[in-house]
Amino acid sequence: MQITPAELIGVWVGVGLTLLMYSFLYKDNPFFRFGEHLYLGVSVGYLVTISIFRSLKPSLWIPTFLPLLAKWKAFGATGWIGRYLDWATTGYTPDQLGAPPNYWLLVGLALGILVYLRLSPKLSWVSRYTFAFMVGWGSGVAIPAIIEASLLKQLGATVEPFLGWGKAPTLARVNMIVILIGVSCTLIYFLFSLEHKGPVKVISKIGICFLMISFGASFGYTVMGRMALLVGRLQDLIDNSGSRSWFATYVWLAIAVGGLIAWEMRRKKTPTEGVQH
Amino acid sequence: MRTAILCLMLAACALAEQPLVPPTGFEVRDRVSSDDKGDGLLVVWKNSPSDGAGVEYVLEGALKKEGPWAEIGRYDSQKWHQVDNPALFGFSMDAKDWHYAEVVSIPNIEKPDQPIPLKNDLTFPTIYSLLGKLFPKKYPPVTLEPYHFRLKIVRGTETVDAGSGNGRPEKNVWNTSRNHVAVTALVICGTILVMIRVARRNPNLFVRRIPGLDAVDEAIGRATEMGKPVLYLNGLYGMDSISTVASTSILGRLARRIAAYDSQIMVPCYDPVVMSVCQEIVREAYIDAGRPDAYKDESIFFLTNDQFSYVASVDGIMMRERPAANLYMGYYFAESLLLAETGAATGAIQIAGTDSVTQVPFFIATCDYTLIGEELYAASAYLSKEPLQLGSLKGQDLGKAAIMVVILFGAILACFKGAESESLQYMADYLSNWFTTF
Repeated sequence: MQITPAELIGVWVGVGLTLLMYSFLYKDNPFFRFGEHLYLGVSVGYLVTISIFRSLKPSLWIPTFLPLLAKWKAFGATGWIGRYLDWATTGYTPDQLGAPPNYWLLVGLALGILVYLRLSPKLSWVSRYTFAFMVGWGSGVAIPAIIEASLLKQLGATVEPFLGWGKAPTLARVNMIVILIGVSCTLIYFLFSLEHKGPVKVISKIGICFLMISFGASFGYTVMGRMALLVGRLQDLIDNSGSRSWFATYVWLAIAVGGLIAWEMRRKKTPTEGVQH
Repeated sequence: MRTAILCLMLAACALAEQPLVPPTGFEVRDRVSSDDKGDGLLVVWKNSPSDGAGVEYVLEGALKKEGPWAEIGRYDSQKWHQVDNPALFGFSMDAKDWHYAEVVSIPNIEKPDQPIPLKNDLTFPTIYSLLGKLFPKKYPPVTLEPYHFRLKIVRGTETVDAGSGNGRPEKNVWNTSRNHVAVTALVICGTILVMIRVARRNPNLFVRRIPGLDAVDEAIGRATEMGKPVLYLNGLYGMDSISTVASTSILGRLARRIAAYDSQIMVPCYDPVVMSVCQEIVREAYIDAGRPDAYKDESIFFLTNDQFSYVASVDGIMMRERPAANLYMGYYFAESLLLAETGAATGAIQIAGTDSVTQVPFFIATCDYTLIGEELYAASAYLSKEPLQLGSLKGQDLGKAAIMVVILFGAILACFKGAESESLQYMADYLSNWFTTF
């Protein structure tokens, strides 16, 4: 199947950036730096766009300002203001234009604007109100959620299996007891008021053993996932090494390897550069 | 044999002939649930002695008392018990004796495919209702007509009226189905407050050694000797995360020592709000240490809000700046190993602290010291020894001790589930319900 020019550009950019980033495996070099800064710049640009079109516009502009502009337009504005209002209110549904403005959102806007006062050395203290609000709000939202999800749910998961104790087979009962011992010993490890001496030391060691067993399992599981990601990326490189992609992988590999050799040779000629590292 | 068959037939006839008994307790209530927008009502009624196979309840609704009435739904008399939906009804031992129906719309007789959604009474403070209090003539209170409901109990062709009533939905501030969470939070917070008072009277409360935090001084000292900065990362969560709050708190303590040692700190941030908070905290720390002149705003900077470009950039900083110590405190995802592995390659001393269970193993594998879970929260108290934080830590310890007791007691009690003793059964049920979350 023939590849379109747009697809070909995508393939070349993808393969090229992948190999530039992988060049970090050798050491920090100009190719990696180029990829790093490009990635950073693109991600910030993308973030700004997403913030405007997926956050500011639907959550502030449309529910608050758009209905106000529509009302203003209905009063009959003329001149450049009228043209602006026509332009600003085009492309929206009558429901959006006719909805009552949600003035509560202006509180959020005001708090957001206060953050920009950080740019003024004299007024930067005002921005603390916004941060105080955010930290307070964040804690208020997080604490009940943590009590529910991390405390009550975990307690339930430990205790509830015992509800089936009467009908449970022997191995299931052993499992329940192991979990109970594991949870209790681990909790004792996390008691900071008790010095790890004598029986407490033994119990907390058992707790740490349980923790390490679970961490080991988690480590193995995640590493397997990462390997799958690596295999996927390498598969892409192999797929794009053929004539259909104009040998993108081989060309970029040659550029990266050749470039690294040239860079190393140049560095050796200028020894002061190497001193920095 | 004949006598037995005759008796059975007579009994069957007697049962079949028993008239339908309508349920009592019919009531229309406002729905109180999580994320309640004031667009739902609950119709409740008690079990009827006639409940059983083939018996069902028919609920009808209307916008006006005189009708027209439309069928909202049919409810099997052996199902739809309140006990099946604790999210709506909480935990009550008589919840199994009550039926319920949740209503969010009234059928539209003219357009059956467009049911009429229930509207609330604007009881929750809106701009309109606030203006209404100031200017009642210009903004009169909006009072909607109540919605009307009636219930019938049906068995085959036999139908008996079971009650009628009306109600208006309201927006609610308090979600009663989460009372148990509120009680737990109040108990824990109360304990912490009491322990803070105790810590203020006796500031020398014991806290066990946390090796990872003892190494912080070593790391700062190394950075000072080498003339290299300390790199501090806050994780990938915003200020609404407890781990980030803990991390910024540790940063304050750390910055104070760095300022005292005349060393340097670098804090590349993932979140702009976290960056601003960190700038404030570090500035305060430098002022406290008597070195306001040494503080540089640009040492705490925003990189990006994208996970892997952030990692690429921090890795680049590590390779170029070669910090003497890397501290990873906060919540991390897949980037943990990428960061810590690069840090290890630069030869920096590395200390990590995270409550991200899936990432702790990676930090353990690559860092010199790792604070596991709760140790991250304890770190600030451990470093500062301030009564407020020490008391909070002690309160949390008491909470954990209480949790252990609850687990042991609950496990023993749960074994009695299905036991003949009604009181033990009740306690086991209650305990089970307490742990239910929505």
